[in-house]
Amino acid sequence: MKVIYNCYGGSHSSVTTAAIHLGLLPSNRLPTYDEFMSLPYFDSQTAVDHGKFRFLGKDNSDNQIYISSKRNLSKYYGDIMLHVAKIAEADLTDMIFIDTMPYVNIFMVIGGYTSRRLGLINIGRPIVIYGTKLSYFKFVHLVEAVKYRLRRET
Amino acid sequence: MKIIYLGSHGCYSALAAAAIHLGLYSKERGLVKSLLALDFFCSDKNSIKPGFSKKIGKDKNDNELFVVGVAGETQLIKKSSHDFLRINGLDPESILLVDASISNFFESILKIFVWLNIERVATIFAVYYLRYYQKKLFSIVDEVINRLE
Repeated sequence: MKVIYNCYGGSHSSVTTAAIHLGLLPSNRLPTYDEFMSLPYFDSQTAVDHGKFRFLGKDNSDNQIYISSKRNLSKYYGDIMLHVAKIAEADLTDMIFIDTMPYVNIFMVIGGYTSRRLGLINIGRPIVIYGTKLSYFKFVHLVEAVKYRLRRET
Repeated sequence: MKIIYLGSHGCYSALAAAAIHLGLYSKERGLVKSLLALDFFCSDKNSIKPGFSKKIGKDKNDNELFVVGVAGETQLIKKSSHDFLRINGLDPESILLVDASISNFFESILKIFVWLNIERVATIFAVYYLRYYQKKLFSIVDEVINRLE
């Protein structure tokens, strides 16, 4: 199964959630600043990367974990991609799109915009990491729900 | 081959481009009549939702034509589709994604008309909009047809 975590820019919430899924970040405590910064693609993707699928790894059950960005397409991103998959006659049962945006808070939005869009990394990055920590256990919960769904469907 | 015309909404410029490709919308036949004869042209709230998708038909070379509404994110969807097909072991070249979005501004106004349930105004506006940009639409389709040959 392929799991595609997606968010606005593919730099924060999707990376964090995918990393929790893969065990790159802990599920029982808040990660440190360095742990966040050691993640691939964390606070590093820019507008030219939007839309690209990034492979982060395989989980214990051999599911492939990807991240992607969808800007303002919201829940429609998954719908559009599933339509494309259907047209291409791809196996629709082999993939799920997970929207991580519902757990994104105002600090993540402001910090992400400041760091990624305005390029003010020194200001934006601490704010986005603070925001990610605030929502962290919501991302952990989302991963648990996804894993439960994967167990049921496979 | 499968060809997907992408527009802000699937029921305006993307549909008109697909119709031109199929020969349903020709200069000889008359633009207004051609557009109004298309079954879901400017039809309802469902057709202006992002993600709206429909198969339009097959051209004379057996290429299948589709439209998909992508809310102004055509380049993003092109990139995602390319990667998505690749990770699924499919040839990204097997599907041609065509950016048929002409004016996100005009399509946003159309969306407002449809949401306000003034579909008659939306239809008139849509016909005017596509007539205004018809040269561009024909050139998009010509480019696709030349590429296929």
